[in-house]
Amino acid sequence: MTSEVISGVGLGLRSCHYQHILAEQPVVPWFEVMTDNYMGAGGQPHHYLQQIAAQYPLTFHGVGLSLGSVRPLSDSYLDRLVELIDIYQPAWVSEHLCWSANTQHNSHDLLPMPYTEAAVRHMSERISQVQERLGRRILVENLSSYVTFAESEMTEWEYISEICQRADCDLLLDINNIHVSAVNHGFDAREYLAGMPLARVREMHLAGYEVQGDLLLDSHSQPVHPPVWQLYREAVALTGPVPTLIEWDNAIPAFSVLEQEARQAQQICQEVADAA
Amino acid sequence: MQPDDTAALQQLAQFQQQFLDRLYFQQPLTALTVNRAACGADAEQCLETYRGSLYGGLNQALAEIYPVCRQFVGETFFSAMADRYISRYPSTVERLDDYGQSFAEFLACFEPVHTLPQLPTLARLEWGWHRAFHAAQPAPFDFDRFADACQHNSGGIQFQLAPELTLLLAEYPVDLFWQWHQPDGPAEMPDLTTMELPLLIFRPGVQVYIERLDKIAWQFLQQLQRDRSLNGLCEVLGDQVTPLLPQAIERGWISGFTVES
Ligand SMILES: [Fe+2]
Repeated sequence: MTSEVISGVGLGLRSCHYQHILAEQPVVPWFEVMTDNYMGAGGQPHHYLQQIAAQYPLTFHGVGLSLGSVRPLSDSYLDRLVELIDIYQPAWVSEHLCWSANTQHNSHDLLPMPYTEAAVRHMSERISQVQERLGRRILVENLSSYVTFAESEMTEWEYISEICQRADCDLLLDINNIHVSAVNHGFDAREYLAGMPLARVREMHLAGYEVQGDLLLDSHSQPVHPPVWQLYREAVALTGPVPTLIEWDNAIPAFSVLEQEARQAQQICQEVADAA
Repeated sequence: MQPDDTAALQQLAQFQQQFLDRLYFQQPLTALTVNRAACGADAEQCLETYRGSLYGGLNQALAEIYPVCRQFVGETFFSAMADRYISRYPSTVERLDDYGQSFAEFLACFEPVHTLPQLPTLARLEWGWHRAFHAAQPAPFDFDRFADACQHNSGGIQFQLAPELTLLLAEYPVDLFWQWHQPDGPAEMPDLTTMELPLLIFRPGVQVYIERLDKIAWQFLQQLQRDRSLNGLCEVLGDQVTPLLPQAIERGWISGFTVES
């Protein structure tokens, strides 16, 4: 599948919606598949995904590659990813600019890197290794984060720009993540956007956050919040139309709620296009 | 690589070691300095957010693998118990699907649930179900090739059991308890008094099956787990193989075979 088939506002595919999608065949331009949910050899996940793949374009989105880990990339993980790409032919493959595991333990979570020259070098080398192994460019996604480190030598947008340039990879711009980190760490989301390599953006993510104490938590458990819609509007005005995805991972609502979120994103894109 | 690069990478490795030790075991993080967040959260709060996310994610994974155990003890108790498990058995696996295998072992030694001796067996059943759920879909059994092999090289036949098939010698009727938990299950909670019960968990198609086995079927499958050969099966079970083998193939307990010369 080529990346041209992906446009408009897609939805994250979640298992609780399999039956609805197959029965109702809703009009959705594409579904994004959480690759890690299909690492298993067979069974219901693949049974349903095969049927959905026959009717809708797919993109792959991973959380388990652990691009930023110092320990070596996992060959078995990459082998399985290659198999899944062969089977489902996603338009593209994306991963997070994070690390998850050290030599002993795995967090199965998206953990932050310090923004240092060493981290840039390491991350970009690893992305290059993955792109070589997969025989294609990948998209990397900006994280939401709850810490910054005193040892960081640059801003997040400088860090990401440098990595993208060195690895020559594409970018998945998560608008909610920018807002969450901007509030948590007190930077200006507009300055962040202006500093990003926007020509590399192939996809945007929208999701809802939660407030936890002083911090915003990237929980993917709510509708997209107003300031994130506003930031999305500004981002689209800078990039032009970019395929956009509604992500919802916890307290997942009825499918119609996701469709409503997608309509809102579409409307914003339309308004930006009309104003241009 | 320059010596500076090596030192920087070592520092990154040390940070990743300490950061996960901090999240899992509350160990100190000294390799890097966490700033107070602009939103007001101090370094401890920021790190606790990650700790909460890690424990929450693994807790949810365990709740999805062990829904019946969770219903048995209640959500709050399960969550607290799962947190104890996570700190004792941090994940060392690549894929989240593979996390939680030792939960039954943990429960067997976990003092607060000693009054629920059925719980470890129930956890074993649920782990077997989870493994079968994600197992590979075997290719259809090739009866023609099998007939041919039986005629020409029966001594070389080695069977393949259904992928991720589990044999569980349960001490309680945990299969009834599992059914009771299902949305369309019986309304009455089953009686969980002691009985020895050979159970089979496997997935012949899309659905996972939990079946009670009679003694001879149990011996048959146990023998195949030890030694996959037709010869071995005949030596141990004699004439009983004749009715059991077609049944095992038909029901999908045996999913295929190879012929070794
Ligand atoms: Fe995202």
